[in-house]
Amino acid sequence: MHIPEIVGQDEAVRLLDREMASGKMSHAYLMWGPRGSGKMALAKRLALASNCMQSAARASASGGPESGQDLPLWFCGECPNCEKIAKGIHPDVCVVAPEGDAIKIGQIREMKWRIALKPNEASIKTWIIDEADRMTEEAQNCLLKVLEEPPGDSLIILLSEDPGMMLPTISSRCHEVRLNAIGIEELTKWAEAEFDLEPERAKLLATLSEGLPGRVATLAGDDEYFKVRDRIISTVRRVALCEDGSEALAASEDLIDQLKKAYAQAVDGGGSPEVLEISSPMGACDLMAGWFRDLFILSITGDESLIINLDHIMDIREDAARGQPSLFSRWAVKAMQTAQALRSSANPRLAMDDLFLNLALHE
Amino acid sequence: MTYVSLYRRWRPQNFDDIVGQGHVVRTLKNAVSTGRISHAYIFSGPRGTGKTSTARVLARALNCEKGPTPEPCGECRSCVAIRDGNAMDVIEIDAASNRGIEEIRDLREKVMYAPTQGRYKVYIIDEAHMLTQAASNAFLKTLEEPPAHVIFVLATTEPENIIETIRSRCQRFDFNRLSVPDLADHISRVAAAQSISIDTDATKLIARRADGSARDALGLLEQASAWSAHVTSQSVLELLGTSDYDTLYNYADAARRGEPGPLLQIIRDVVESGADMRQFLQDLVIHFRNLLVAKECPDLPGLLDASEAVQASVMKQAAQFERGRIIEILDVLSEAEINVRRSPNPRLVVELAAARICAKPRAGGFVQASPPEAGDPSVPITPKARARGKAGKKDSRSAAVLQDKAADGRAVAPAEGEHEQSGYSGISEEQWNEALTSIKRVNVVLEAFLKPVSAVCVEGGVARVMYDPSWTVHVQKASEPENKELIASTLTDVLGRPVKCEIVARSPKPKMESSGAGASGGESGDYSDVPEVMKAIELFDPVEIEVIED
Repeated sequence: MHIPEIVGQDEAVRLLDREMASGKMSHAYLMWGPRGSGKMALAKRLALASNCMQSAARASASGGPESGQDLPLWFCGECPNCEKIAKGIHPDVCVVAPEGDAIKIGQIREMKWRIALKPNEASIKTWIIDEADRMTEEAQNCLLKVLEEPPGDSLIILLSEDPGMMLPTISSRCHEVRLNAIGIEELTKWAEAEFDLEPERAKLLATLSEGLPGRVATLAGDDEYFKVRDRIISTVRRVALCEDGSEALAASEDLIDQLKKAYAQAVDGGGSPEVLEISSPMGACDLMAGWFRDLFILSITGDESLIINLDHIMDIREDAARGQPSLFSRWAVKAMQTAQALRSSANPRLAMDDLFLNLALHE
Repeated sequence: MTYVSLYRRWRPQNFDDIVGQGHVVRTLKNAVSTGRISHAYIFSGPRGTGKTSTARVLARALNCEKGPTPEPCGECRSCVAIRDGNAMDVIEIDAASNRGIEEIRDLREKVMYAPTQGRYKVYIIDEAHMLTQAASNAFLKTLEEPPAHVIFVLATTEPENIIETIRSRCQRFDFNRLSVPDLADHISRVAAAQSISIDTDATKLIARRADGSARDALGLLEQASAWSAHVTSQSVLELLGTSDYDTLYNYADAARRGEPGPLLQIIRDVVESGADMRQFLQDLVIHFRNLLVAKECPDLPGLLDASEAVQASVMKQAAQFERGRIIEILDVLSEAEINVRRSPNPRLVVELAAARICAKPRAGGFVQASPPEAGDPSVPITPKARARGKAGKKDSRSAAVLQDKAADGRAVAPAEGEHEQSGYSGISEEQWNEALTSIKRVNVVLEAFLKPVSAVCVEGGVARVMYDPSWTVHVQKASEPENKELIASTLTDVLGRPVKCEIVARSPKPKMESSGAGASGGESGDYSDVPEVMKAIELFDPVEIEVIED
């Protein structure tokens, strides 16, 4: 049976556990944190803990919140409720997710209608709204009343990467639970144990994923990602300071073609979200920005412990000696701006050409 | 669930419970006691200020069996029913879900029937700004002249989105954000009643972070009381995930000294501890704002957004700063705070902001966050770099390495190098720019030709305008008599004394050689030995090339 695992997030788990133990659970939660930080796992865990048939008996037996040495947000994993929730087939635990680009008012209306019904089996009906910041404005407004005073026996959990995108009236009705990236060290250890990796590899994944366990898990078995990444890095290294406009343009064309192929392949072959991301032009630009950032940081501080692309440390050392910090920081900014331009639908070919010409002729 | 959130349990039950909306409460109370009740109200204001609650209190006041009275008893059938939300005559409509014309038509029909128990039928239309255009219009007639037993209360956070014809039919009450003292009082009252033990410092902190909303404040209080048995400002900060004060202090210290190394290490530590970069930036902004406040008005510690424990330390740090420096840093940080929202790589944004902070104290320091503008005459290298083309490829690369070695990784070197090269003597850079601006007004083309000028030197009534020799076409154009005349007359105006103008094509000391002794000799920096570039100049209008440079 699959029990959602929560890596790190001790504080969030402890907070929820204490709220539950002291009987101060809210009817609405807003769990927010970066992609891959484990929001859905935490929401499911909360649903499990609040519906497990054993947990209430256990809590009263152990005599109050402070005495238990139990796992926080404990659940038995065996009762019918636990089993169904873990399998994702419980009738009273529902997930609302964007249909297409957004969560629409119709979906929220349906949820409101269904939430008014008594739970079938669970003690608490749980509604999880994934990517809540993608609710349309109408949908958000439609949610307000039920979010403030839902019928008894219900729990609404909103998940969001960017709660700032929602109406302030939404977050004001929820208890906020913040999920953080977890410490690199802790994540390295976890990755080592979980995926049976060399320490160095584990550290690289932890650093590249910016402390997000979800991303580490994807990257761990993802050779395609590293292939694309190496290709981008070698192209950048070839072009940077080559002083040759035509070579830069050729490299840009070549890279865009290769990215397109990698992207198409990933779409067809069900590649991981990380591959999809990095083989999009904006993902590639983000990677380049990170690369220049490494050059910049190394050339200005000489401190190798600040480097992100640990596996290319030799290359970074070599490249950093070839230029000035001001140049690298300018490149980093340029790459970032290019990524941003691409996100607002700039022409990929033109944007990449421009970036590469900048690199080649170090303007 | 048996437990009901604090903010729901502590909804005000009569007018005196309503926090911080004195103007609304007084008017409504008087209206009820004198019987001058309007048939339609709009309650507007930000979240958590008590709009819906006040509407319910009004309903109770009007329908109380002992009323209508400004002090509803809270015991009669009507009062209890309204409190429990099952009164027949108080109809709460969620306009965001029922926003169409059909719903309003339905409402119009039902409005006709007399109330079942109370005196009035009170319709509370929440989120009224979400009514569709058609629904709003269908509502107008009913709203203007409803039956005598009907009262409408429209509650909304966005009154400007309600159509004007609705607004003009209602009495409008604006609810204000609650002040920090009001909120703090409210929090301690609730905490005392709920036997939550809480420090005064923590009360104030929650009040500040709630941003004027009673609901947010009680939500936070509730979480904080679950988080730790005794609520202190420390535990609230933990709950909010606020950065450690020492980290902020150290960051500010390193920023003041302009040392990139320590700043970047602090950022790394913050990243590795798993903290959220947006939160970190936000905390930094708050910290620097505190420093600014402490610097500007040291007598008003009440303005600081900091717990009492650290106020002395904030004051001390502020004393070490210069005012302008704090503002500079705040500028950079606030900009980063905006950028970080959209960036998929928040760490990079924070790091670049740190780099910019370190670059600022020395004007034109090592980081130029945006590419230098072409109009800036202190950047003459651009065309040269392009002109080198294939011919100079090898050499320039080795030269770049040498230059870097000469600079010894020190940040300021390149800026100084550039400065030397573009000398202004007898005229300041500002004056030259002023002259350019006025030339632009008369002759745009000429101004474009003057952009790449590398140096201007005014001596004994003669202004020498110097170009790098590679700008052949520019030199030619600028040397045309009427152009020289215009430059001379403009400079005469700017400088306030008569000058003549001379255009000089002069090779400045090649950049590479000035810094790296023994750099390869292949760096003439001249277009004329690169046939491709000469060809390009022949083929294209140089003015256009200049525009692309931008």
